Amino acid sequence: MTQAISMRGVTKSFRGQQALVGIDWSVPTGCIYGLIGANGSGKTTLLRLALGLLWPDQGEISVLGQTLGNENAEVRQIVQYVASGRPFAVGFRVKEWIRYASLLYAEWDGSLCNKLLVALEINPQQHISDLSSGLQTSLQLAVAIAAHPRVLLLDEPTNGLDVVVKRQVLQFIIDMAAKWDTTIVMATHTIEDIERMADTVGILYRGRFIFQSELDAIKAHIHRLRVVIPQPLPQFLQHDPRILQVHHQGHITQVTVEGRLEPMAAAFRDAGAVLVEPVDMDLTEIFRVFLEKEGYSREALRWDAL
Amino acid sequence: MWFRVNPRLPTPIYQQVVDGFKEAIVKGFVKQGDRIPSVRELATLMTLNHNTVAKAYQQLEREHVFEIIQGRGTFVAEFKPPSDSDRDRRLAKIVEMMQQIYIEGHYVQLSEDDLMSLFRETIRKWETGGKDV
Amino acid sequence: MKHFVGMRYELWHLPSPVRYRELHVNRALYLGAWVLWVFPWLFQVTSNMRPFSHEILREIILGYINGITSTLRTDMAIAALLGIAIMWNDRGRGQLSFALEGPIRRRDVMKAKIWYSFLTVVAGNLAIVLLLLLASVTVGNMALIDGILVRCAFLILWQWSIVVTALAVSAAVGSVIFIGIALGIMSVLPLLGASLIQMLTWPRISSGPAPGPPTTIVPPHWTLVLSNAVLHLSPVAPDYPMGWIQLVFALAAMLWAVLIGRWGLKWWEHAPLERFYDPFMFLMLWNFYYAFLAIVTTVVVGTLVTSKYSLNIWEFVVFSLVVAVSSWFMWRWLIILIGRTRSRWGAGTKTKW
Repeated sequence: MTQAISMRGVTKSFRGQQALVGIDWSVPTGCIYGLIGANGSGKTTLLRLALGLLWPDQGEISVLGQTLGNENAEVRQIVQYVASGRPFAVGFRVKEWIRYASLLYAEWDGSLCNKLLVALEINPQQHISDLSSGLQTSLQLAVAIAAHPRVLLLDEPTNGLDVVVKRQVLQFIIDMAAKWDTTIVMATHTIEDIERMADTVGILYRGRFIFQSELDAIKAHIHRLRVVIPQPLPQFLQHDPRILQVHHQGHITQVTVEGRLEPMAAAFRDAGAVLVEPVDMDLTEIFRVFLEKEGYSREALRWDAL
Repeated sequence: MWFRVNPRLPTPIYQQVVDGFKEAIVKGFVKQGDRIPSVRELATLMTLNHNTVAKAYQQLEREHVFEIIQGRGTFVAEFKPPSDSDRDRRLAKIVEMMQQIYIEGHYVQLSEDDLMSLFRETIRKWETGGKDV
Repeated sequence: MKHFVGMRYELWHLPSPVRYRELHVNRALYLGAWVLWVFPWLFQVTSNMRPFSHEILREIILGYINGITSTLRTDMAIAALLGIAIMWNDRGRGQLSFALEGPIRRRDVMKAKIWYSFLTVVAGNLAIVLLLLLASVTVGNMALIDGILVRCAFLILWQWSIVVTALAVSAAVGSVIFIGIALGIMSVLPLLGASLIQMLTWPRISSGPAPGPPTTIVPPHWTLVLSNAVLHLSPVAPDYPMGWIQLVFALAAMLWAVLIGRWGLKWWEHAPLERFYDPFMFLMLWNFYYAFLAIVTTVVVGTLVTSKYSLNIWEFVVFSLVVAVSSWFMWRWLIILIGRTRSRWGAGTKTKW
């Protein structure tokens, strides 16, 4: 499959401070990619590199098969970027900004844009600076969708949106992805947004990718069991490479395992476990396990600090 | 919607969609010949990844639960007896699940008879319109 | 029209979104500059249309032709301010950095500013010339028309070169060296030119048919020439050349505009985006704006004062320094104040633009 975005060995620093280090990243065409990381982990830098706005210190970036250079205006016809919470086009009314966009984009779909504005309840007569920040983000998104991009980069798109609008916005995004096979990258620090939507995820931590995989594959790969087993654990289980994490809570032991669930459960039963039951694990917990596996210190494992 | 999807369950989402449709059909929420929303419609409605939904639909079509009629959409297929190989494969899966039940039953000290009567009771409850068991 | 890919890059071609955006963001400034240029002339000419004030009208026209009207100096200052303002306003109100995230080329953005400022300069000067032609018809002296047209051509190119310099300095996105060199050359070159011209033309100017007792004519000492040039400190107030020399000056200005414009464009295109957000460079850049405004203020105030009082060279230097330094702080205070009240517009309060 062709790659929508592909980066090889990309490094970027600002005033001597490294923002991204040795990034190898590829986003397959047509997927919804969840890019996870806290503020300052390098998400925004990564997306702005993919847009050709920032230039890498080292490495090569190509978008839809086109290698990026210095002036990447053409690439931004087909790659759109929407970020929440920053001033934009304050000197324009909504309809004036729409007019500008209609001149700007080769594949502009005016009637779609009008429909989106109606659905999002944005008044075209209003000044953009008078819109709430949530509406400003929605407007950016409407413009981005109407420009018919082939890649859509979203930087915390649901920040500042109430639950109703948030759902609506996510539905627009999914509808677009399904209709045009648009590749979507969603950068966020709230995993809930992408748990349902993403099919591929990557975690950025301090300017590095520590994990990239398809979501189904992770789920099939990582499991957590709640077991009641006489202590201490039998030798073979203590040194089993499939066991990633063990937590004791009174009589109950929580074990996180890698690989298939059944053989592992059977092994515990054979070792004399009274109770063996699988426990639900959300992505947040799965990623925490991966961080620990990567050898990051415990202090760094607080998800908020990721 | 006929079913819910919980991304936090260890079961992959596409599998939850497959199971959800099968359950809805058995319960009679969806009937043979009913039109099913397209991949795009369902994905948008449930805010699910469209590739995931497409994967579920493919599996349902492979298992002859769904039928795609060109130019008209996706429908719940008429029930057809599965092919021998398909039948064998699915039988094997049922046997595997039964083994699981038996093992779990053993640990809560259910005898063979207990298990059988529990199974019958479950089916009756289901058929009389009971909720999830 | 919309497919920019692979299009040949032409000097005059501006993509429609770039044109739309530039006019939307800056049209008030272009119109404002035009009004500021034309209005004083309009006022002077129309208020002296009455038959008994034809002599004043003739003086206004001669003042224009000989470059001794003080309105001409304000016109230069307006050109400089226009160049800075169309960049400022775009950074603040127009959210230039946001626009650059779209599929427009940086070069086109700057090209639009250069073209529209050129059109404004032309429109302003043509309006002034029309007024003066009307005046000369009223006065009945058609012999003045030649002089008016030559002066007009000179002023258009000269003012435009000032706008382009101001734009190029703004476009350099915080390159201190570039700004220093550009402003340095801009102020030194006309100074030297003016000195040279005065040196060459002094005897002829002063040896006209003077009434009274004959005087011995000596070429002025070089210090006198220099001090005279300093009094008319550039960049916005060159000592106006006369006659055919104007055309040489105009060509030099044009050459300068092309050189500095190209150089500025190069910087503009090759500056990494993070430069645009760099608070240190950003604040440094503002200091140059303050300095630029301080120089303009000093020239204007200096011209006004020296027209009333005669100062010797040292008095003048001290006076200029005091005015320059205090106006630097005054402009800085004023702009930060504007920035506070309209936080998206001014300097110092916001690092992103």
